[in-house]
Amino acid sequence: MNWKKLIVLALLACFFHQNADAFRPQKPFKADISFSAAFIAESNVLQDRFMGGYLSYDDDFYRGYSPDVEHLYAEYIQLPAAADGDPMFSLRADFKVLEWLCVGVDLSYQQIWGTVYKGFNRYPERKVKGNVYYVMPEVRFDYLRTRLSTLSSSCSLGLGIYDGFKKKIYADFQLRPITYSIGTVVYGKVGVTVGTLMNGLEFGAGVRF
Amino acid sequence: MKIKVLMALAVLPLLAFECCEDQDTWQFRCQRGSEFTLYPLDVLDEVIGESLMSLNFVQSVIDSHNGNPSLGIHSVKDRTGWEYLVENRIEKSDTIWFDARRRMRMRRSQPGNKWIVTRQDDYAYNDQLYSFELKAERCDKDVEGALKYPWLVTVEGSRTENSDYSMTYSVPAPMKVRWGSMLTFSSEDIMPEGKLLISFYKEGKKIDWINADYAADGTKYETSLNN
Repeated sequence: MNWKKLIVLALLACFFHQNADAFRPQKPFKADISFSAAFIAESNVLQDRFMGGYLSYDDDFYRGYSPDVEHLYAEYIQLPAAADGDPMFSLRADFKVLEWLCVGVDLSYQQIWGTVYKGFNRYPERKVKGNVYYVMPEVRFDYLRTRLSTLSSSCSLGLGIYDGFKKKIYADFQLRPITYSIGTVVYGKVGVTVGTLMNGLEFGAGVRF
Repeated sequence: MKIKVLMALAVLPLLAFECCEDQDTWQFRCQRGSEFTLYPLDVLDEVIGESLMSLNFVQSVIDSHNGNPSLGIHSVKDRTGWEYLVENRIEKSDTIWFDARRRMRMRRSQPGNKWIVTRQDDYAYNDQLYSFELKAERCDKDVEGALKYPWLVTVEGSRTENSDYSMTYSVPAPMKVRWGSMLTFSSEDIMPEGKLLISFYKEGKKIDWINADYAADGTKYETSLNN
């Protein structure tokens, strides 16, 4: 038997093993801890909260036929384009309470930044940053579970601590309507996330035990 | 059943829609760096120009009735066919003219027989509330056209906004105001000659000023603003 045949056989064995795994029940677990990063765009809600302490060039500066006196002295903020926004990082710990249901906690962090201008002078004065820490209880529903992969939805609802914002605490939610995970004890995942923090795609890794 | 409900809830789409932008704004009305000139321009348009337009209507009604117009609503047309309404009424034995569209009240001063135009806003477009008193005297006819008489005006007034800031404006010495275009009544066509002083206030304290000096050969500005 030469090494080429060996590789083909190994691949075939792997393929059948994977397929067999796909239909075997998931390995039992009690806790599921994962870390993920979400990309694409900070939500409009988050941006509005950050811009709350400033006027915006787009929404306030050119509004109306004649400028207000306030426009001479106000501070304006311009946020970077969506593609330049920062990712949201999440650490989640879920515990199985029912066959299909997990509850847990979702700790997330996100940074947002903008450039401040003053009055009619459209030269940047300074950069400002906001740090947001979210503490949210989470409910997760697994609607497909096999040995190797799962499909799940989850909902997190809780409070965000907003450092560098005008108001310091807001209520937040984040929905993850579809998350696909692949792996057994250690797994990788990808999913869609929408909510007050971030709208985009989430990638992560976790461990079930 | 519960599973289906949970699934339905989980995939609720959350979309935010952006509304279209309003294009009727002032960003196209001046060059970058000279935005401060929009404040005296606003006083010229909204206070002096609009007042004189109302006065022009009233004066043309009076002229067309040989100085003795009836009480009630009169309509005036400009050369493009636009129709304007002014009302003549008696209030406390005083003859008052009223332009409802521009919210101008006009009466004659006693003694002196000057026109006094007042406006006291209690609602505002763009959060800007104007209140002022403008005194005007019609000069002798010096040009032919729809608006043949220049006016000599003085003004004292203020504009408050939905913020801690406000502004006052005044024309202390009589300013001569002509109309550029003789075809239409438009406050943007006025050609002033004289000085307009503007002050900006924060919480009642004066913080900055602009002096605009209008002359036949152009406008000179002085300001305390660092623009």
